[in-house]
Amino acid sequence: MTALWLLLAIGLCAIGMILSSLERLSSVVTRIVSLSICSLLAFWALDQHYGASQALFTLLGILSVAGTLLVMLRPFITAKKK
Amino acid sequence: MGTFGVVKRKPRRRYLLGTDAIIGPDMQRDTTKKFYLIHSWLGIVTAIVLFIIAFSGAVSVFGTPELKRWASPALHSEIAVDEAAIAALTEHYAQQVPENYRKEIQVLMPGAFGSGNLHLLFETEHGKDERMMWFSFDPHSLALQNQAEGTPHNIFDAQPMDMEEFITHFHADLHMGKLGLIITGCLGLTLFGSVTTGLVIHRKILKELFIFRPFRSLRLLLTDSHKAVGVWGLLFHSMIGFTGAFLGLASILLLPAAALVTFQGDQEKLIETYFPSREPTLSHQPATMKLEKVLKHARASGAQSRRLTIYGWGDENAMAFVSVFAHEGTAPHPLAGETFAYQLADGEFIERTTTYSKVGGVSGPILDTMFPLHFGNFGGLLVRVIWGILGLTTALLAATGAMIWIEKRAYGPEGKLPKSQYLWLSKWVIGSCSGMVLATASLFYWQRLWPDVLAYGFFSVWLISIGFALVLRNNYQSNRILLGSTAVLLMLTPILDALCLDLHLFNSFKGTHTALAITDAVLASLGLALLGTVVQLPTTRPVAQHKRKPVTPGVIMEANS
Repeated sequence: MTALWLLLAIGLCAIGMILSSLERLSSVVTRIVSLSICSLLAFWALDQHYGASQALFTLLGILSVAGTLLVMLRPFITAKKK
Repeated sequence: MGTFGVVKRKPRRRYLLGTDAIIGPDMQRDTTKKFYLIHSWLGIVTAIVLFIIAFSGAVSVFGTPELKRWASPALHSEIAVDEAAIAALTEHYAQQVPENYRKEIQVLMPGAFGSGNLHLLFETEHGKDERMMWFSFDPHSLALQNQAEGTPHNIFDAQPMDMEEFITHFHADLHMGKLGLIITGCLGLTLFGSVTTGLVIHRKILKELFIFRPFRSLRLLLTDSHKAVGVWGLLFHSMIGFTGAFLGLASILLLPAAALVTFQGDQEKLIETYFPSREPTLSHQPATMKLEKVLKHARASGAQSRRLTIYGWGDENAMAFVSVFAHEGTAPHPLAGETFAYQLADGEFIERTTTYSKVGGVSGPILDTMFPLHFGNFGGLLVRVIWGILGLTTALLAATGAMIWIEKRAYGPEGKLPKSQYLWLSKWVIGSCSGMVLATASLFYWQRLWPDVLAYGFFSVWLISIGFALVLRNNYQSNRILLGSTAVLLMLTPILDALCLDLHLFNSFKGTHTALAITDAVLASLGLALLGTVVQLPTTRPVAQHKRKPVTPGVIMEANS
């Protein structure tokens, strides 16, 4: 059960990241809003396993890793598609 | 001129609160330039040491239990901690040792979260003439393996250091004692300074969140990596810098400074006032010690016990303190390592405290979070993996920053020295940083094949790597060779284990040593991924990317003459 909550949180963060990096969402505000909604849901999922403060720091960590990986891997993925 | 080309904007005016001063665009540009200078010089001066500390930190996040377990064959199969047996053993040896050695008794718990073996330490009164008796037991059978008597300093110095202890201590103080602590503490401050100045000079931070152009030029690859890693990990890098500065400088500078301000330099009084008291007032009435009950209660709390400290053994007022790691889930102190206090005569639980719980207010909990936040040991494996990856990005931040500095001066307009001197610095950066990575990978081999010379082996590999990078003319090639060697070492770790151990990855179907098999598989996968990256790295600088420095009239005159 624990692993499921953690996986759900990671999945939600990943979805938030992908949504916020979509080129169709041209507005910075739209990107930030979509990322915030997914982050809130991820926080809720983490809070089911951790305490609130642990969940907050874990969420920030997941977002940092997900963002870095997404930005640095995206050019390689899109280059392969082309 | 920004990342997206020329940006036209109206000159902005900013009013400083409390003054009539007006900051115009020129002054703002000057301020940014000053911050840029601070950022770049602070970065280049500290880059190599920062990389070393950040990289060793990223590895030491997995110190307990992963590296500890990997290093010790006795921990490869699961350990069933028997509280009754540990209590009986402690009681037996407490009766054997002379009475003056029962002033303080420490039980270091067995297992990968603890000290590997079970250790019993019997100490006399603290002070100049302090003596200790030390017993070490096999974690499975609890059979006596080793024992010694002497000063605590001599006993601890004689203990062999495994790779987990080596890399964790290297991260903390570079194996240089107090001086090392000051260096790492100051590096935490400079990291915090670099992050702050970086934030000021990169004003288009939101746009830079999604920019990464790896195929255009080497300089763009470096600058985009530096920005992406820096911006996404902004909070982490700041936190690591701040907590690192605190942990490095707390005992050396902050504690004496606080004592000087509040207690006229009396550190003992400060500790007495702000830290939980431990030593009980003895009644001199004999009593039976309920150690098993204490150990079972601590285990039932769900936390991993690290050590048990006993004061006043055999006395009615004897006290026991169990130190535990910060653990997952809701707890009274969710982001701090705790100590459970017990009355040993009846085994009753008294209270749970943290190191700074007596400080109270807002500052107590903040101080308590410093250690778990820095090492990421508050939320299980997931948090350790996240902290490990982000620690690597801090190291990458230092390395890319140094390479940008060199690149801009060797091939751009900012350099005032000959190109060869900047390339010489580049060799140092490559040798020190990639050499450090190779030396860390070699630790797995030293640990298995020749654990007694682990430290010498590590530093030898590192020095040879630096020498190799300095000798080889092609910097790109030396970097590829050093990182490629690291990848090969990591990939061959499962084979090393198969040759040296009875239990390894290739017979993990037995199910007795799953953790070791997973660690081996992860190391091999990391090696494979690193090899894939190394293959993509350029072997030489593309000629098209060479930008000539602007030629000044003086240089033309010199050339003509």
